Formats: sequence, C-alpha cells, structure tokens
Amino acid sequence: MNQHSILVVDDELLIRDLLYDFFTEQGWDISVAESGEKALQILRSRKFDLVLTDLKMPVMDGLALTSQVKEEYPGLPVVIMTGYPSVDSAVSALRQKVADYIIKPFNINQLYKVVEEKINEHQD
Amino acid sequence: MTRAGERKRILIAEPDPSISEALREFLEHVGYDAEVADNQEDIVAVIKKGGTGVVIIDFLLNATGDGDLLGNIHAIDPTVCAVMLLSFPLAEYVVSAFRKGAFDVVIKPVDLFELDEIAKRAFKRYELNKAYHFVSQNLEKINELARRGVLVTQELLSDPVS
Repeated sequence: MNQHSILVVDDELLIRDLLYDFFTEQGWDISVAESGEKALQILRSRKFDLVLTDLKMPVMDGLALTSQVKEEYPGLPVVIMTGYPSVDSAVSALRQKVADYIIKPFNINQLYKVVEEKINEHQD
Repeated sequence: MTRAGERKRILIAEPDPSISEALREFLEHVGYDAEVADNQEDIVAVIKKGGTGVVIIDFLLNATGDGDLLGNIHAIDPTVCAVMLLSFPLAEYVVSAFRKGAFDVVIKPVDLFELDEIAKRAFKRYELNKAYHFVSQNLEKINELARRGVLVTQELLSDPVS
C-alpha cells in the first residue's frame, strides 16, 4: 500500500478527527490544520501529495486557500469538501482547477477513493 | 492550428431549437462559424469531420444515450473544449459537468456576454490542447530531430524524417 501524505484543513474538530483517524488507519501520513492560515504554514514546512480542505471557514475560506495553494504549489492537487454547496462556489472552485468538489455528508469510502484517485492522477 | 482569417468553429449541441438558433445567431455575429446539432448521431458526425474547437453542449443532452456524450466526443478528439449548459442551477450538476470533462459551465438562461468570454477562454485552451496533443503524438520524432540539432517545426514534422 502506498503511504500517501495529505493535509486535512477543517475548522470543525470532529471532521478533522474523523478524517485523521480514518486515513491513519489506511496507513497514510496525515497532518491537520484548523484554518487556511495554519494550512499555509504547514505547507511551507513540508511536502504533501494532496490538500483536502473544507470550503466554509472563518477568515480564509477554502477558495482563498485554494487560490494561495495554486499560486505557491501549482502541481499540488486540492480537493474541496462542503456542507454548504452552491453553484457559485462549485463553479469558482472548479474554475480554479480544484481536483474535486465533494458535498457533505459524504461516504468516507467514496472520499477515500476520490482522494487516492486524484493523488494517482497527479503522480502519473 | 487555426489559420489567420479562418473562423473558429463551434458546435452547439442543444435540443431546444429556440435556444440553439439564438446561440448560433449570436456566435456567428461575434465571428464564429457556428453549427447546430440536436442529437448524438449528428454531434458525433460533426466532431468526426474535424476542425471543431469548442462544443456548447446541453447537460441533459449529454446524459442521453449511454450517458456520456462528452466522453464519446473526447474519444474522437481529446482536444475539443466543452462548455456545458445547465438548466438547473444545482452545485451537484456543476460538479458532474466538470467530472465529465467540461471546460466550463453556463447556467440557462444563457448570458450571451458570459458565453462569449467563456468561448474565448475555451478556444485558448483548445489551442493549448492541440499543441500538447501534437507534441505527445510526435515525441519520438521531435527527440530524433533535436538529437540531430534540427529546429523542430510543425511543418517539418508533417514530412517524414529522412
């Protein structure tokens, strides 16, 4: 099994814990951040295969984080997840070339499949 | 590549004639060579003819038949850029359109100025797609010519390497 490394960004502790536990159980290397700013700090300190970020977060939302990530790390795939889907945010996210836009509540096994697929696509 | 003075070709794949005719009229007016098709067979036939850079395709029309008309279009010509028209403003449909390979989406009723902007970006992407496709198809030849110190041009590649 490949040990992928992902950065999970969500202001909700419950989601961070859920994703941390799940992906760690799969043998993946997971880091978590509670905000966009914290995520950028972590990204400057080490490499990741993918960023999985919530959309609606205070101060720096998922779209602002994506734009910053695309500028600083153009090859790094970003997957956005949201419990508040809207046409505008989906269009903005996908025009920013996010790897995917996942609507909560999600099936965690499907999320795993999407994340793994996007990492593999970007490593090809 | 599109030659200077040659009109860029757009296919409007839309089952509602009142919409497709309005789009065709507008796109012709702003300088495109626009063609209309309202069923899978005709759409595929137009793509097979070649030369179409952008397809404006209705989301529901895309879902008819085997459910992946855009996939079939890309199987014939992977460089074509698709703009999907959505009748229902739902995030799920937007995501589905992008997952199916759309370059962008427009929500009906169509804002023609928005469509014009998107079409311009779509043609830029189409040119990039064609260049990328051309290089990947001719990589061996390009490497061979580069090893010989030859400046590689598209015209040169269309002739056999002697």
